[in-house]
Amino acid sequence: MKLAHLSDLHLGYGGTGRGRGRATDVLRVFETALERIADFEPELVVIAGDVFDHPDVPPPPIAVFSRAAARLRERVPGVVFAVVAGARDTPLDPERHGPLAVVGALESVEVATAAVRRLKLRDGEASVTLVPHPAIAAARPRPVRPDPDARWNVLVMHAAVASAGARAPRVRMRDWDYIALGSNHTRTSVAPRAHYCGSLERIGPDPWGEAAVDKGFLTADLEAGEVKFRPVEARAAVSLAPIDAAGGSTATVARRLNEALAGVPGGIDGKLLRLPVRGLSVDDLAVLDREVLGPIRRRVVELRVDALPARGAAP
Amino acid sequence: MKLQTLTGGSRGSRVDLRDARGLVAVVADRDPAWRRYTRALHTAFASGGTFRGPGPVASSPDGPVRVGTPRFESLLGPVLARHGMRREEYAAVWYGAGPAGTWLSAAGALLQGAGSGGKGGGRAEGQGAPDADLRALREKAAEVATRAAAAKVAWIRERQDAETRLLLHRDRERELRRRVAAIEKAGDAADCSVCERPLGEHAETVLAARREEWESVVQDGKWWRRRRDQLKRKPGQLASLEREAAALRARIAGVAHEGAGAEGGAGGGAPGAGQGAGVVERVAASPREAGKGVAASVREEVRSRIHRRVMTLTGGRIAGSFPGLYEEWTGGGRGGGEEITVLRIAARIAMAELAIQGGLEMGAVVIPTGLERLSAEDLSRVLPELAGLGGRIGFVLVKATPSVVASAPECFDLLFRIEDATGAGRVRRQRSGVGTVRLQSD
Repeated sequence: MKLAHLSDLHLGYGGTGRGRGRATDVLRVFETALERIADFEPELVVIAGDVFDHPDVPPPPIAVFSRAAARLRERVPGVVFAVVAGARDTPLDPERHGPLAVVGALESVEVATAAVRRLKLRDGEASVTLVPHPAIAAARPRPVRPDPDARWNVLVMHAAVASAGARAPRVRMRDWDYIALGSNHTRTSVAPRAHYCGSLERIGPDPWGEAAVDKGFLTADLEAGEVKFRPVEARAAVSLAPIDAAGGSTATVARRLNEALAGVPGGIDGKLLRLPVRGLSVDDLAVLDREVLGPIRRRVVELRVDALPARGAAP
Repeated sequence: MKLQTLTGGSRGSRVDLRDARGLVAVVADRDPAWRRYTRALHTAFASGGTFRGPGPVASSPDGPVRVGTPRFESLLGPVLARHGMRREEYAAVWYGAGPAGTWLSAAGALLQGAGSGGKGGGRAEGQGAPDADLRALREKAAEVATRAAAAKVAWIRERQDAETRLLLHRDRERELRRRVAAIEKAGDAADCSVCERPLGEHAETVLAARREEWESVVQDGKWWRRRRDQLKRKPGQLASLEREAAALRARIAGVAHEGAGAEGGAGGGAPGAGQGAGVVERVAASPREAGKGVAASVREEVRSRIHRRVMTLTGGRIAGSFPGLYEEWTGGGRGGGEEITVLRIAARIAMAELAIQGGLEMGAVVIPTGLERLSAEDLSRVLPELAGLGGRIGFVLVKATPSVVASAPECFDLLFRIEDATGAGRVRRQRSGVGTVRLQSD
C-alpha cells in the first residue's frame, strides 16, 4: 500500500508582494509535485486540507488542480485522491459550497468537506478516514475510530496537535497505520506514523521563517513501513542579518546593505528578501527607501523591510 | 477592563463575550449593528457614571459591572489614577475613541508609565510635592519596566531559538540515523537521496560522510539541549528587574492612592470622573493640542513605535511615504484610504502593547478600523498580528466582513455573524480557527 501525502497547497494564493509571481509559484510547485508523485506510482494521494487559499478562488486554480489530477491518472491508472477540507477551503456560511465541491466531482477525487467520511480501497483491505476542518472545529467533535475490518487504516485530518492535557478529541496512534496531518506549513514528524508534510511553497506572512527548511511532500510505503520526504523546488527566501545603523548615516547603511547583498550566495534576484535595519530613524529610513530600496524591490519577488530599535532600546 | 457584553441599544442584539479570547470578530457585510454596539459603548463610557438603561457590561474582580454606572466609575477611577491617564485616553486605548491627538496622548501617557502630569491642561494643578514624587517614581518605573521588557523579550527569543535549533538537530539526527542504517543494510544497492539511483561504488564514501555528519549533529544537539535547559530558568538580571518594577508599581499605587484620596476629599467625586469634562472640551477645540502637550522625546518614541508596527504590517512598503502620512494623520486627516487605515491599526496595536507593558488592566481592546479596506497582502500580515495581540491581552475585538474572515479564518477564534445587519441584527455565534486533536501514544 503506497500513498503520497500533500497538504496546504493554497492554490489561488496571491502572495504578499506587489509582484504576482507567488500566485504562479504555488500552481507550478503543485504540478511539479504531482509529476514526481507519478514516478512513485502510489495507489492513494491524500491532501490534508487548505487545497485552496480561500473559498472564493477564481477558476484558474481549480482548472490547474483538475488538469494535474487528470495527468496523474493517465500515468498512474487507478490512483485515488482523498482530500479533506481545511479552514481555508471552508466557506463561512455552511450553506455555501466551496471550491472543493467542484474538485470533488472530478473522476477519482474523493472529498470530505463537512463531515467525517470513510473510503474503502482494495475491496476493503484499505480504509481511509477523512476528517475535514468543520468536523474537528465543531463544538463537540465526534471520536474518530479506525475500520476494524481493514488491514490498512489511514487517517487524514486538517488539525493542530494539542499538547498533553489540553481539551481536544483524542486519536490513538496505534489504531492507525498512517496519520496524514495538515495545517502546519513546516514539515514535522509528530510520531513515527503521524506526519505533517508541510506546504509545498514558502507562503504566508513570514516565508523567511522557513528559509532553511526544504519544502516538499511525503510518500509512505505502509508494507515496508517507510516514510520518505520528497523535496520540490520552492521559491528561495533570504533573510539578512540586521543591518546596524549605529553611528552611521543613510549612506553608511546603504554601503553596509550593499556589502550584505553582495555576500548572498547566488544573488538576490527572483528571491524573497527580508531586510532588517536596526536603529535607523523614521526619516532616514524614508530616505533609504526612496534612494536605495526601489531598485532592490525590482530585483526580488518580495521584499520585507523590518525597522528594529537600536541596540539597548525598548522593543 | 474586559468587555463581557456588547449591546446595540434597548432593542438591539447582544454579543456575549464572556468566553472570548484571541481574535474575535463581529462579521457583517454592512455595519449598522457594529455602529450600534460601539455607539452604546461610547455613550455609556462617556456618561461618567450617569448612564441608565441596558448597556455594555465589563468584568471586574467583583463580578460583572455595567459600563457608565457609578460602580463602574468607582472601579475605573483608581485605574486612571494609578496610570495617570485621563478617561479619554483610557477610552482611546480600550476602544479607539477620539481623534489621533488623543491616541498619541494616551500612548505617551502609557510610555511614561502614566505621567500626564507634565502635559498641562487636563490635570489639577498645584498639587506640589506629592505630584513631583509621583512623577519621579513613574519615570523611574517606566525606565525599569522598559529595561525589564527588553530583557524578557531577549530571553524569550533566545529560549525559542534554542528550542527550534534543538528540534531541527533532532530531526536531522533521526534522518541521518535512518540514512546510515539504510546504506548499511542495502550496501552498494542503496539509493542516492538526491537522484535515487543506486550509490554503487560511492556507497562507502557516502556512508562515511553521513556517519561523520551524524556524530557532529549529535554533538551540536547535546550543546543545544544544555543551552535550552539553561534558558528554561529566568535570567537573574530579568528577575531582579521585575522585582524592582513590581516594587516601584506598589510604591506608585500607594502614593497615587493617597493623592486621589486627598483630591477626592478636597473636590469630591470619583477620582478621574471630575477630570473628564475639561479635557473633552480641550480635545474638541483642537485635536492636536493633546499631542503637542506630550514631551518631544516621548512623541518621537511613540512615532517610532507606530512606524515599526507600520513596517511590519506593510512589509516596509510605505517606508518612504510614512513621514508625510503620519503628519497627515496627526494633523487630523481622516482619509479612509488603505494607507491611513493601516497606520491607524498600527497605532492601535502600539497602544495596546504599551498598555500590556505598563500593566494597564484592559483584558480586551476593540479595533474599530476597517479591515476590509486593506489590500490582501497587508491583511495577511495584519490578521496574524492582531491574533498575536489578542493572545497577549485577552482578546481583540474587530469588525470584519465575511471576505476578511475567509482570507485567514485560522487567525480568528470566535465569530459573531450578524445575519440581519439592517434590522435588529440577529447574531449567530460561530467558532473559528484550526481544530485541535490530541495524539495518544498508548
